[in-house]
Amino acid sequence: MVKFLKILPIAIKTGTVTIKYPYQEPLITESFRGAIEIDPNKCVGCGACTRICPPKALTMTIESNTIILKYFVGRCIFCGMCADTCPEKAISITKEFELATGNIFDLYADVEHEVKTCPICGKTFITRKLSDKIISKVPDIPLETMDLCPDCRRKETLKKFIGVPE
Amino acid sequence: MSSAIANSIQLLMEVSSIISKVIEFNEKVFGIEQRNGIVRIKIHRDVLPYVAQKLATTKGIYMRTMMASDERDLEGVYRLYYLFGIDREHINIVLEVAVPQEDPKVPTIVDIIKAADWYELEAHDMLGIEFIDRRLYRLVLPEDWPEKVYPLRKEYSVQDLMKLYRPKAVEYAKEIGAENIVVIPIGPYHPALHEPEFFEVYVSGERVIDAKYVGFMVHRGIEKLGENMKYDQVPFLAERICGICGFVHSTSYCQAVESALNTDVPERAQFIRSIILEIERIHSHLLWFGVALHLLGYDTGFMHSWRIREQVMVLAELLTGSRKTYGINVVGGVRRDIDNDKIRKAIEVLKNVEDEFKKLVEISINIPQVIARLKGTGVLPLGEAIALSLVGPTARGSGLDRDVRRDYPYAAYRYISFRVPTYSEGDNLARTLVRVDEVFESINMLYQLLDKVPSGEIRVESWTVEPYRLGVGSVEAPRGEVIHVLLTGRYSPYRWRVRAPTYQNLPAVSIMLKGVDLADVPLTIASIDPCFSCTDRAIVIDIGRSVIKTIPIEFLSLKGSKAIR
Amino acid sequence: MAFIETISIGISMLLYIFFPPLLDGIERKIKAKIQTRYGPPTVFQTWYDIIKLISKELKIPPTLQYGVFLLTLAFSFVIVVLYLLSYIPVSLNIYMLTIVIILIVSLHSILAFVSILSSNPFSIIGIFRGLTIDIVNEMGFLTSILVYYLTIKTFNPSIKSFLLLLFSLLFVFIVSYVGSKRLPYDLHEAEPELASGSVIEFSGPILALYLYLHLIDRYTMVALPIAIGVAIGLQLSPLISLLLIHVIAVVIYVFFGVIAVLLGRSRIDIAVKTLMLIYLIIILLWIVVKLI
Repeated sequence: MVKFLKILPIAIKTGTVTIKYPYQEPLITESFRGAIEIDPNKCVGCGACTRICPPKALTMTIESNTIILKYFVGRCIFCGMCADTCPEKAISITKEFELATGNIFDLYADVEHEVKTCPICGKTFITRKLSDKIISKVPDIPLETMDLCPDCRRKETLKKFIGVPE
Repeated sequence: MSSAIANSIQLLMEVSSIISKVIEFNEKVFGIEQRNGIVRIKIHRDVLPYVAQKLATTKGIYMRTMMASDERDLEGVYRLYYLFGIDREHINIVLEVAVPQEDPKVPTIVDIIKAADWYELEAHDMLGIEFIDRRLYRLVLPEDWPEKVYPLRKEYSVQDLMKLYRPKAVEYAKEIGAENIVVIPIGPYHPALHEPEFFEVYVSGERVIDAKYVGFMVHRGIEKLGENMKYDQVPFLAERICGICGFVHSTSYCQAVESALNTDVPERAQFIRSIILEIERIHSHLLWFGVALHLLGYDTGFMHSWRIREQVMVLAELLTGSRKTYGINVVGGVRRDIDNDKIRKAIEVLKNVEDEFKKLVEISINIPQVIARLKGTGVLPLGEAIALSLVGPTARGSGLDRDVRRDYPYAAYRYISFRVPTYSEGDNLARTLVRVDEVFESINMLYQLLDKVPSGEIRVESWTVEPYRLGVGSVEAPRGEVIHVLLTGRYSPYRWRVRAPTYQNLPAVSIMLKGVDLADVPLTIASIDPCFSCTDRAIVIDIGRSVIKTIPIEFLSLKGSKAIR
Repeated sequence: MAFIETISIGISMLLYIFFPPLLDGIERKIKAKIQTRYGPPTVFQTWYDIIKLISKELKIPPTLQYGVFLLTLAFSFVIVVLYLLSYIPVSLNIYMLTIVIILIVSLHSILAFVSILSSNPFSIIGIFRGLTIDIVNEMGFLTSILVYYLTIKTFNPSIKSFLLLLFSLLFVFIVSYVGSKRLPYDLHEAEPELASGSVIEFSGPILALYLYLHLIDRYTMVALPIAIGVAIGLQLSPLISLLLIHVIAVVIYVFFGVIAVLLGRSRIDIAVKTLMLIYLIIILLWIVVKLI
């Protein structure tokens, strides 16, 4: 009959559980995943993260002679797939989640990369860093065609092997 | 080992009995094949009602979902997949009906299986398939959606559809010269869970005579979006189908892909999935319990229930890295491992939760007003539960013993023992007690799971895609069974069909509401633990569609000030 | 002598005017503690709320034009009731008590009438629920005060008298609890999402006035039986009895607040049945004991 009184001792024992949050430490555990951070020194601009990112928070755009890896926190779902995918381990997951801001540009983080331009056709293709990486990783790569875009490289290689029909 | 043999013998017997059932339509049955516990029977559309009749009248067989898919690129037909389940035998039967594109007509089975009603209407809305001999009306698409545009047909891309649809509100705003004015949507809302949905409740005095459901207001087009995403991106989208039990959707999706492609998931990953699923069930039931007490005016119980739940949320974050939308499911396994330290902490938290929740339940169930308003209200008889193919705690509260974890074992549930609580009263109290019992049962299961986690890999790194394979993944969500049916494509799912439990359970609400007091309406609606956004997941609109009537605020205040003057 | 009486009446009236929102603040704090929350920053929060609401612009909906007039009428009634309540410790007779009761009942009916003026179909549902409870409880109120007055007037130190006093005290305080529209009987504002009550129609200063009247009404319903009891039973000097009345009233008010946190909300049909049953049983018990 008076079982409803039993909540009183529980309440007294528990005390106040509300946290005065902005003035107190937030309750996050050690495995919490927050916003990501891209290390511009490690990033080579391969674009693997932009292809796996489920909400398309990471995008790549080519502007004149730079490739920009754009991270928009506003779309980020904190899944960390990019960090798992990144071959250079340039992306780290932080515990940052207090990201609200009055200025939308605070939500963007850009990594700029110098882009390679094909000396023959003038097309821009991959970043210089990625190209350098490939050169250092792949032994016996024909260095003379590395500066060319994929199309011109194909043509040049063919020329080398079968000669040029003039 | 012996049990596996016994199971396969049973399976063969069941299959042969089904074949004998359809053999009389031999020339109309094109082929039967069986793989991974899925029996696929290709039949001509003319014999569909007869076969459905045979299946529906067999005890223990119920309709789980129906997928309509546009396969004109492949075979020049639309195809309907009617998915039936046999609980005892762990088998899914899929009736495949090809519908020629020049004459998309199929006989209806609504008069045989009540549960097929919404599926047929949805297939009509989405793909333009005509069902003969029944009333067809728009269920899923908004009333101002253009005629003859069927969003799930492959010729429409998501971008096309967004261009095609202009909500009436926009036209209306133009009409009153309010183009640059912010539109504030007012209503519809859920009386308890604050989600956009609308019940028309007809009352005489305080007693409810009848109730009608108007829904499908938060169409997000998730199925269509999924067709444009890569296999490993879809779990994150699937997880966002539901805000409370998202993990069941990502698990279900991954299982569907894995079953279609015959991928073996490592045991450790299976265990981790089960652990997270049960943690999710506990937090969801604690949430529901709190909301139910709030609806009964016992706010103290609500506060304490959510206080206890908070520990579970923090635990989930410790194990997965996120409080909700855990984001650890990928096709072929999971992304985050657990270690002994985390297991020890988890057991500590669970012991505490078990202890505290036991006390809280004992207190709150004994509040005179709570018990008076739970007992005998919102009754749903067993017969109706069977006829509507209900699932989850709603079914179990009416004595329909149905649980995917036991009937179609997935993840690690085959390695542990557990009880499926059922109550036969069918009232709000029964549904509450089912959930309360399930919390303790889940905690018990978690002790076993955490104790038995095997060592090994947590993820299959590589798997190959074979296009046009059918996969079914079902998971017992806190609200009932979730089924994902999936037809694989080359890079992304060709067709992905999601069936959330509320889709199956909602039609039961009108039955429960009849004769209930108005004050108990919110509680009765909440007693199926509805999740409207999950149910409404199907379609394509992303703009402010959660609206029954949109009035520009300027207009509203004008009208208001005129009235005051 | 007259000087002390005047002073005590003045202090008492000030307390009656100042206490109700303060007590509501204390109640909110206690409620929060039981629910393991912090609650409002200070116990003066209800006062701040009322002051803030008063400072808002005045919007009078067309249906409430007469309602405002009625609310001011109710306010003047309240002042008279508070004066009479403060006068009770000085001298009490049956005629004055009758006037107090009449004033309180008419105050309740004015407040009910204000809400009925609303043309909002959703608030009507809540209003009629509130009215149903009010009708039952108003009858209970009249009977309980009568029974209580009789008991105290004829009190002598015997077991029979103590039993009668116990029953009548129980009766009078159950009535004042139900009249305070706390859980489980806050049916007039039960489901704000589904069927709201009267408050939804008010805003700004009108809402402030309505809330204030409601809070004062809560406090007077608790203080009235205590004042009668202290005035007739104890015969102390006005200043001491005034203090005693307020101390006891505050304790009981807070006790009511705690009870409200521990219970769920009733339903209109259950509520009417339970209240009728409780009142009948108490009256019958009282009569039986009286006749023995």
